[in-house]
Amino acid sequence: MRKYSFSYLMSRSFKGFSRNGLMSLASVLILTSCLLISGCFGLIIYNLYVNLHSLNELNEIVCICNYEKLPDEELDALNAKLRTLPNVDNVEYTSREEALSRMREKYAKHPQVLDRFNEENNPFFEVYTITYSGSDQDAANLLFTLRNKNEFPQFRTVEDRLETAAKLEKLKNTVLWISGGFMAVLLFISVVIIMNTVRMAITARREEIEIMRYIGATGWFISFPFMVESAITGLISAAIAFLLQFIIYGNVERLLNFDGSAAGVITIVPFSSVWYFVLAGFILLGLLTSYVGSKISLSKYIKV
Amino acid sequence: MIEFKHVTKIYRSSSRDTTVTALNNISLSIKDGEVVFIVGDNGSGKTTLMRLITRMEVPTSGSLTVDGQDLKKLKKRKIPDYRCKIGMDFQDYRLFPKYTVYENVAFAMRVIGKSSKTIKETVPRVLSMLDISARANHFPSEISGGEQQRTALARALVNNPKILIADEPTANLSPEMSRDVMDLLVTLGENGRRTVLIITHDVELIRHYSHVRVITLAHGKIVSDTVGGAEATENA
Repeated sequence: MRKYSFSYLMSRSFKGFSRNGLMSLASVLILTSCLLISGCFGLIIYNLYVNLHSLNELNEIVCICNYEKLPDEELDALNAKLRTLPNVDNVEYTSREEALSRMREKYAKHPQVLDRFNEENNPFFEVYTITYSGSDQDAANLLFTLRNKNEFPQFRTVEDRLETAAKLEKLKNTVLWISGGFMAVLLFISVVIIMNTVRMAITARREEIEIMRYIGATGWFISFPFMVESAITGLISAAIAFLLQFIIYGNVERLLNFDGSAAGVITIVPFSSVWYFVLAGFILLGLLTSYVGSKISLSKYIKV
Repeated sequence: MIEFKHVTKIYRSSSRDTTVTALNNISLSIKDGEVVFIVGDNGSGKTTLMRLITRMEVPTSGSLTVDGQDLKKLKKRKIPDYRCKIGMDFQDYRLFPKYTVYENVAFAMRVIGKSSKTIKETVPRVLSMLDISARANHFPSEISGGEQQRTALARALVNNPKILIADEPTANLSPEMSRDVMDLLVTLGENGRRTVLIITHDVELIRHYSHVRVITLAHGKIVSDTVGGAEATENA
C-alpha cells in the first residue's frame, strides 16, 4: 500500500487550480450563477410552503357581520348557534373596537396609518372566527350553511382560506416544476463546464501525466489533484453564491417586510433561520456537481 | 527475463479505416542483467517495443512476459506496481521545467509514495552517482543538455528499477556527450543487476560497444539480433 503525503498532494492540487486560472475562474462564475439561481428558487418555494402551511394549519372560516352593530343578546345567541353547528371546534368573536385596537398594536411603528380612525369612525366590522375540524367536504358543508342568508342574515361575507390555499398550492407546484427544470438545466451546464475545465487541465498536463504513468503513478495519484481542484471550484462557488444570496435575500426581505410581515399578507422567512440550509445546500450541490463533472472527464481522458 | 512470443501490434485509426502494423510477429528474449541496443530507422517499431514493455500498450496478438508475468493478463490495478520495476529515460528528457534538478528526481519517488525521509536520503546519493550534485538546485533551463540527460537518468534510476529503458538517449547531444552518456548507460547494466535496453538509431555510436547485443528492427520485424555493434551497422 502506497502512502502519499497529503500535504504534497494538496499543494499540487492548489498549484493546478491557479495554473488553470482563467478556466477555473470561468467554472467558478458559472457554478456560482447556477447555485445562486437554484438558491433563489429554493427560497421562493420554501417561503410559499411556509405561507401555505400556515394557511392550511389555521382551518378557519371568517364570518364578517353587517356594518350595523348587533345588540349584545343577538351576539350571544349567534355565538351559541354557531357552536352547535357540526365540526365547529371554536368560535371567537372580535368586536369592531378590538379589531381597531389590534391594528393599532400591529402598526404601532406607523401610527399615522390609522390616525384618522376612532370609535365613531371605525372601518372594521364585527367578526366571528370559526375554527373547524373534519374533511374538506365537512368544511364545504359548513361554509354552505354559513353562507345561507336565511340561516345567518347577520353575515355580509363568509371567507374561508381553502380557495387561497388551493391557489397557493397550484402556484407552489408551478414554481416547483419551473425551478426544478431550471435547476436541472443549470446543473447540467455546470457539470459540462466542470468536465471541460478538467479536460483542459488534463490536456495542459498531458506530458506530466504521461511521465507519471511511466514512472508508476496510480490512477488515484494522477486523478486526486484534478478532483481536489474541482472540489475547490465547488467550494469557492458555494461561498460566493452564499454571500450573494445573503445580500439579495436580505434586500428582498427588507423590501417586502412591513413590520414583520409583507403588508400583513405573506410571511417572509428570515434568512437567519434558513442560512445553514442554504449554505449546506450550496456546499453539497457545489461538491456534487464538481465531483460528477471531474469524474466523467477523468474516466474519459485519464488511462492507467 | 523479457520474452516476446510472436508479438504483433497493429494500430487502428480512430475511424477504423486504416491500420498500421508497428510490430509484426516478433519473437525475442532478453535475459536479466543483459544490455541490449535496439536500433532501427524511424517507424521501424522501436518505440512500440518500448511501449509494450512498459505496458502502455498491449500486443494485438502474441504474448509478452516480463519476469514471468504475462503483461496482457496483468490486472489494471497492478500496472503501476509493475511500472515501478522499470526506469524510463526519455529522448527529450521530459523534465519538469518548473522543478529543480533535485525536485525532478524526487518527483519519481513521490509518485510511488516514498516518504520524505527516504527521498532526502536517496536523491542526493543518486545525483552524486551521476555527478550532478552541484546542479541540484538548478532548473532544467539552467543546465547543459548532458546534465539534463543525467538528470533524466537519475529520475529513471532513483527507484532502483530492474529494467532501464533509454529511448534515444543521445538524440539531442553532441558526439562527445553522446559517448559519455552511452558509456554511462552500458556501465549501469554491466554489473548484471539491471537489464538495460537502449533504443537508438545512432548506429555509428554503437560500433564502439562490440560486446553488447544489438537487435535491429525494420518495418516492424527483427532483421538482425547479434552481438557487436559493427555487424548491426551493416544490417541496418
